[in-house]
Amino acid sequence: MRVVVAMSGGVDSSLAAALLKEQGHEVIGMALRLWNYADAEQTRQKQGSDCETSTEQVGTCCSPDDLFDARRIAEQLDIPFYVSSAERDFKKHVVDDFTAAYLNGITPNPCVHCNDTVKFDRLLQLALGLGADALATGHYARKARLPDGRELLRKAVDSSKDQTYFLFRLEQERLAKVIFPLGEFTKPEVRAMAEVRGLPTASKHDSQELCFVSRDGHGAFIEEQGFSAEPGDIVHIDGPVVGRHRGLYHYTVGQRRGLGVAWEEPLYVLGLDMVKNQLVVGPDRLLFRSGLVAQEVTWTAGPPDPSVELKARIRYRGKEVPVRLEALDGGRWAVYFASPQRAITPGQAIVFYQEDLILGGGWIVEPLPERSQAEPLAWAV
Amino acid sequence: MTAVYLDHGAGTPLHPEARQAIQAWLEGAAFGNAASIHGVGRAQEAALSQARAQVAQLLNVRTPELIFTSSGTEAANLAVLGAAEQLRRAGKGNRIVTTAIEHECVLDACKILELRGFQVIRLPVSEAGELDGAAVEAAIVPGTSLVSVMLANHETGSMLPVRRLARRAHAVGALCHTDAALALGRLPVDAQALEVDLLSCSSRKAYGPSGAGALYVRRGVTLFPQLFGGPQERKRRPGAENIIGLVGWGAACQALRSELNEAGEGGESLRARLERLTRLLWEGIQARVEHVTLNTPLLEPFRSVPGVLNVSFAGVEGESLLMNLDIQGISVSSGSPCSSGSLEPAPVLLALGYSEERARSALRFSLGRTTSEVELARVLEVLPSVVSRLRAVRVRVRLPQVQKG
Repeated sequence: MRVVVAMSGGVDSSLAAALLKEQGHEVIGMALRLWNYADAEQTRQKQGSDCETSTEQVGTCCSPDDLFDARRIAEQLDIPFYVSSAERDFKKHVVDDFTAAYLNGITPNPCVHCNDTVKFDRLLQLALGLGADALATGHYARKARLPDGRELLRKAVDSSKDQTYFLFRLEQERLAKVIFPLGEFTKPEVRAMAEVRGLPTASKHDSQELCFVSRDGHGAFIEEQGFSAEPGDIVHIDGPVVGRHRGLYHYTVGQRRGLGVAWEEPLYVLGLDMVKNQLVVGPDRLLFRSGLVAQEVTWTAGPPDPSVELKARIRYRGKEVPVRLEALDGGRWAVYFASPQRAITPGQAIVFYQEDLILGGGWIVEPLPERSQAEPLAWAV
Repeated sequence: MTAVYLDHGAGTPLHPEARQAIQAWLEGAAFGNAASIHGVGRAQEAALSQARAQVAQLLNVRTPELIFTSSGTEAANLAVLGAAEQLRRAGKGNRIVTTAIEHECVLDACKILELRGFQVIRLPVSEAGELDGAAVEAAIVPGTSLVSVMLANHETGSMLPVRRLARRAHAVGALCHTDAALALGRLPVDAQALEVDLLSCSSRKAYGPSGAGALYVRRGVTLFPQLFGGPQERKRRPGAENIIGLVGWGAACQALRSELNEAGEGGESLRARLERLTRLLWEGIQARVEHVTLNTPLLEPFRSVPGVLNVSFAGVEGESLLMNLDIQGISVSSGSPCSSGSLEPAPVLLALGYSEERARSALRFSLGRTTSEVELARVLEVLPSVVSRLRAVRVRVRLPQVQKG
């Protein structure tokens, strides 16, 4: 069949393309130009590929260096390779959303948004336009087919690299057209296979940082976008003002470092009060909450049967925890954890699993009020 | 599957005469410096002189009036920057008039001039590719030092009235430069008949190898150099010339001179042939594909360079169309090929006042001396199905309307 492979210039998508070619498919390489690095003046110090991998390395996606690598791989594999401009969509759907979220006290997850609103849409449109039967990516993910023919995302064999958390927004129509050639392999296997095939990206670093945000962090990025910080008070959950913050968008729920506050016990960010422009801090134990509200929840193959044992993950590297669900109105769901979860962060994704299947997910609005607490915190959203 | 190359506007295949000349040259003494006194140097100088004569003849200029450069871009840069600077130093003003649809080699040079304190007027060009007479009169006034107007536009092929503008420039004491990169090799380009003072062109777009260009500088016109440090090109453009490239381009120019004007096989000149094939392609597209818009002033009155056909396919992205044709072995272009594979809509088309949709859906076919009816038939065979598939996909793909949390 004819397959378009999304090539980012990293080892994963390189190998995906190589494997498909070996299987006899007609492979076409495609990359998206997402961000104008020349204008952002940050490019050259960085290296890497996919944005949504681990926490230990640095890198970007689709920088000019990466496009160069992708082109080189395509030449080596003797497949056509094209670069399509998606800068405008990326700015509109991902970057502006990212900035707006921080300015509203929310910690965004731009990689999920990017997959949902830019990458998969644009790539699928290009792929179908090229008469391709499928779009392949180098994501660590698998698919499972249900008896009724519908499909679900399934975790990758390599659980340490599994990227399904970032893909939960793929619904039937798109999922049906997407294939993940690396889902059955571990990262070391992928590197070894890339090396055997002489792919120059075999030993390339995994990426980590957000592709459009420099090492100076998201605060500096937001300021580059023309916004300025409004410093305010840091208040202890028990009432006293304990310090000054540099502008709320610099902080994330659960954060400890960088508060600049000396106190009798370690203090953590518990919440951002956008109305009072206050950063609410307190002891670690208060970060543990037993439930949350999620919105815009989507189910890949319909809502789960109540008898199903569901687990959820509230961050990419988070542990899965058994949950109980309750449907609210307007696509909102209440989620109750079997055990309290630390640092529930508005704006992050919550993804629901049944064993290794991904049933769906949504966006975290806020933690549920604790029954034990006399006065629930006013969580600003 | 036969490859069909319809991107001559981005670069032409090497002329067989050029290939032969280069091979012969390589077997001889392809080294040394034409500025040296010894025999090896003289052989270089002789080759250079021959190439200069060949290119000069094609442009109908005298050999001392020709400066060789490394590219069309360098030639245009030297013309615009060198003339503007020289004229300002001579107290002839700092007002530059150009158009909004020039190639980047002129547009960006003008931006630099603005940074250096020059005043740059960019004449608007209508959707039909025409300059507004009143705007021209108002812009080219005394105090203007240089007018730079392209002979034929690189995206649409539309031609601008260069001679008229040159006369207007001279009437107010200004010089006139024309970027003839796309025109050369597609129709006879006579720098004297155009009455311009400066004319830049490129080997790569006129059947020579990459890495060479030329600037005609009318006798008596002085440019402020942009490179320094050697005797080459009478110090007007120091740096050793690309002799191998120029040997090839010279041979190509010599061949083109007769091909363009004289009837070849089948009794028609290259120019007439390109014109006929361009019309044939447009008629074929019109007959087979619905909702197409002609972006090249191809119909009466004919105001475009032969061999260029720019068409918008409503509801289809030019870049997708380009990829599809490429997979079928057909090379065309969309957007700005000069920005290294980027497929944004061509700035020229937006500058012409086209809607975003029309600009994004534009495709440029550029024909050349080897283009055949068979090749065009192949394009016309592939195009309709590709366009209808792309139109169908556009309807089918869901664009998500998810609001963010």
